[in-house]
Amino acid sequence: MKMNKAKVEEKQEIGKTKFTKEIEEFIPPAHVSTDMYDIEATSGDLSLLSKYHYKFKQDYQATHVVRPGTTEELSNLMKKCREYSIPMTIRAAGSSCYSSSTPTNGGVIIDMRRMDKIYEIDANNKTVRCGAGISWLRLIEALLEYGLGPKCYPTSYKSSCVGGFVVTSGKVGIGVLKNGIMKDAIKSVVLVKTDGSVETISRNSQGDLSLDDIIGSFGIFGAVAEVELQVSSLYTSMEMIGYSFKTFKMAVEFFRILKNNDTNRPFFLSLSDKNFEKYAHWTFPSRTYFVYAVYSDDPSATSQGVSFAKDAALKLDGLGIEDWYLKEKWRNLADTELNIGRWCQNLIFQEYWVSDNRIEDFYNFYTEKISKQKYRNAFYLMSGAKGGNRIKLFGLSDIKNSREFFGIKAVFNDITINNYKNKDNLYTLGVVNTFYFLKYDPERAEYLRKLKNKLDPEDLVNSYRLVKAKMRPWRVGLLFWIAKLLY
Amino acid sequence: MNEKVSEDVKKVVTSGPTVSGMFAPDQENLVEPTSKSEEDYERCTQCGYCRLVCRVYNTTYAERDYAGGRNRILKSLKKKEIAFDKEKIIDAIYQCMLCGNCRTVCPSGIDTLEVFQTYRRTAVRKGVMPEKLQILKNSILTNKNPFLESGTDRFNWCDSQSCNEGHKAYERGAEHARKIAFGELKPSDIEEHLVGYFVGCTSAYRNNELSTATSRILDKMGVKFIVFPDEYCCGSVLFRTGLEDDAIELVHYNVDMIRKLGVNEIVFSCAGCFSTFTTEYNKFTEGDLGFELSHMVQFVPKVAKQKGLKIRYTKRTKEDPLIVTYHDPCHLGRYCNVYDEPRELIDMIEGVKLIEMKHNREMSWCCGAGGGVRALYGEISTDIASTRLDETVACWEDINEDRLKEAIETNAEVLVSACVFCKNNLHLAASQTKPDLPVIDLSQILEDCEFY
Ligand SMILES: Cc1cc2nc3c(=O)[nH]c(=O)nc-3n(C[C@H](O)[C@H](O)[C@H](O)COP(=O)(O)OP(=O)(O)OC[C@H]3O[C@@H](n4cnc5c(N)ncnc54)[C@H](O)[C@@H]3O)c2cc1C
Ligand code: SF4
Ligand code: SF4
Repeated sequence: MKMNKAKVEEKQEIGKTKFTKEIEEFIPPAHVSTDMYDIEATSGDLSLLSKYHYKFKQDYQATHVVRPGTTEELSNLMKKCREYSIPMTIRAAGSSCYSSSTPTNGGVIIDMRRMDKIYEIDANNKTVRCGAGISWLRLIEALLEYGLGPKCYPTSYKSSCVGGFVVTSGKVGIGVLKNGIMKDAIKSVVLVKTDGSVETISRNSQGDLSLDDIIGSFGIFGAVAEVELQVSSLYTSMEMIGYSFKTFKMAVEFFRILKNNDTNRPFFLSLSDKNFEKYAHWTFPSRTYFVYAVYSDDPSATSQGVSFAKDAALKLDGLGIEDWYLKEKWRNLADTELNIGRWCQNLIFQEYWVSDNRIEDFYNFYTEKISKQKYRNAFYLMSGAKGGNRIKLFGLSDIKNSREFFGIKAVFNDITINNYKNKDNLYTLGVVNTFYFLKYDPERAEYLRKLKNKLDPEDLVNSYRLVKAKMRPWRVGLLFWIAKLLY
Repeated sequence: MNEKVSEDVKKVVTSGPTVSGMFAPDQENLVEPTSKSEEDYERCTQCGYCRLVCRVYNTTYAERDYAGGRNRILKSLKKKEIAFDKEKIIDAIYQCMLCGNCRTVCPSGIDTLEVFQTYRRTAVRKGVMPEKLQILKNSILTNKNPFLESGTDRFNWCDSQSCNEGHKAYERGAEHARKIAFGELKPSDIEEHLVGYFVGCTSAYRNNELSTATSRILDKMGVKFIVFPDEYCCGSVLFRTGLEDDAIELVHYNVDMIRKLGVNEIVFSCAGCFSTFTTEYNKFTEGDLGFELSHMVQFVPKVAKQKGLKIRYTKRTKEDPLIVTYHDPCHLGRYCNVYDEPRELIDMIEGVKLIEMKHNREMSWCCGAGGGVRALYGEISTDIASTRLDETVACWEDINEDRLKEAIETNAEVLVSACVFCKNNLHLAASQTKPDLPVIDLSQILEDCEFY
């Protein structure tokens, strides 16, 4: 991956003086920003840690934020960056956290969100072609006019962008259980590769990259400029149900029954503990564990699903949750995770991919850990399509208490290692947790590394994601070992 | 979609996350701003929800320009992670209309307006002063208006020929003031409910059609109002742009002047003056102004009801009404919660029919003029030397055009508002892109009405 360092620096030096002017020839100057406040605002993501990665060393700080508006502008920009060996960080709404869209190598932040146009909605064939930088909310609103809706989308839809969901895993969210994951909905993507060349990639593509390579690539192979999606007709009825349970075991059993009911699959399905409910809402029901499901279909299928759930809940001593609360819950779905951030200045979280049959084991391991290290915590599981789920663990830490902060991180570290050992993994990866992936999924990492070397030999695009880590596992291990001792 | 299906879908989507229910301000956890802390930005979770409603962000696409981005900058400034450069920071501070839409949707309940006005104030104290702002400030302090106009020309709009109703009100005001000054009349002796019309600088110097229409409407309704011969600028621009320290003197001056006259109720045609009195004037007098405040859109329906008056638009009929759409000015709506009264008023007018735009009431799009943006960035539009500013200005124009697009989608014949700044800004955009769409103030419709 290494190129002659002196040569790279020489190219970068030349670039410094010419670069801005040259890109302003094909991108409107208002969208080529060197304003330090603009760079600051565009560098972080929702999590607190990300900024340490671009502030830790001056070199990490980006010098430009550039906002291409078309595939052509994007392609020319990436070609220019390559010409002068300027690192690039692709960014959308920054909702995926873990510093996944934070600069780590200086250079240019490519902000994708000007690429927010809808090029075509084909109501007959139920497809849409749009810029990857469009937010889900805008896309949903536009499709609505045609009686259509995305097959699936993340619960961060109020801010996140279509391209962001494509290149992260796109395996959990609204609609996935019923309609399949993001990968199933993609017909094709237009990718601007790391050298600036443009390629349309669909299921049958024979080039260097397949659709599978791009999904979950976290942008290391280039920027997705356009996305063509299969969408579906909007359902004509929708109902939410919610039951609370005394034990985790019963809650999981109920969850599984709903998940495996192939006749009426929920449109959305989650399981949470009472802490999550408490921190996520102003008002919340009693009891300890909660399963929520949304059924959406034609009216008869919806009511079938609802009565199926009711019967199952009865058998497991599930206590129905009041209608008014369910209504709020559904309307607030996007906010719930974020609301936890209101309770502390230093919210820590980790997202795990956990297979259906391992949920209890995961939970037992987790409760054992938190019984030893007490901190304000919350547990939230969102169903993926059949087979797996995203579990998000939260630690609400006090900004002034660094021992608590590192203590919580140490708990998450143990859980991560345990999860990998049991053949599960992390759900979202970014700069801060890539080292786990490298250590515990070496085969996949090696495959990606080879591809990356071939396509991006200078490692200019989204460096320090998936194929190279900023942190060393032994250092992190040592740090957490000390943290546990101190906490 | 057939109609039945479309109805069903509508029900579904408005009860769940898909569609604008997601930004419905009545959501459980869209809380009222919980504190007025100057450092409320600390509580910003950077969720990005306000990005989608920010007209500035949706024009510039710069993360710096929406509330969450600005909050992030504030956090970094506080921690001294970035430098405070009084020149370079200007755009990061002032490219915001203070429209308040971010506040409406913030799930953390952050009072973004309070935060950003404080930010501006602190910045000014640290020496930030855009050139145009300096000129504006000097003019207000010297001439008591922001337009570099002479203070003595303030009442040129109401000479007996241009607006006799205004002229009479001015004379009544002058006589009233004289009597009070010479002790011929004590405020406590005034028996009637005395109404004063606070004209405001823009209607006095630039948009006489508003002051004229207002005077005529009040006259037609039989309200014996006065105009204040000693009125000064209300200071709205100063408050919005961080020059609060200079504005306080104006607050005290105007309040004293009005109190001395024993006026019971002030009527405003300017949404900016109205909101400044409602918020800042109330704040600096600790909620004890001593007189009531009404914008014309509140005053007219109130008096019409009291007097049992009906309103008829003389240029159209009930059967063939003028179709209007109403643009909620931020200063009436999000600042003062005045949403129902203008709609009620339009409903009262026979011969006029209201159609709503998609973004209305709490979620109304800003016209692009507020927060000093027009003053600071509008005129720089001519400065072709700076491509960056050129683009920025083009963006403001885009904001206006977008708002107009919505008006066109409703098939309205006329876009009405109740704020002179909205009217001017939207009118400017219309003259360039939609010359067939008249943009007027509601008072201009009322001027052509019969009260009976
Ligand atoms: C409240 C909340 C709820 C969430 N719910 C879900 C959920 O239900 N399901 C789920 O899977 N995730 C969820 N997430 C995680 C996150 O929202 C998603 O991963 C989202 O799709 C990221 O989109 P974004 O636009 O924010 O991308 P960013 O966070 O900006 O970017 C994510 C990664 O993709 C890269 N990238 C972005 N755009 C492009 C592009 N066009 N081309 C190439 N690379 C690109 C970036 O470099 C980065 O590596 C949630 C997060 C939050 C905060
Ligand atoms: S006040 Fe209006 S213009 Fe300013 S950040 Fe908020 S939404 Fe944007
Ligand atoms: S909505 Fe509120 S919490 Fe979210 S980014 Fe905007 S200001 Fe911050």
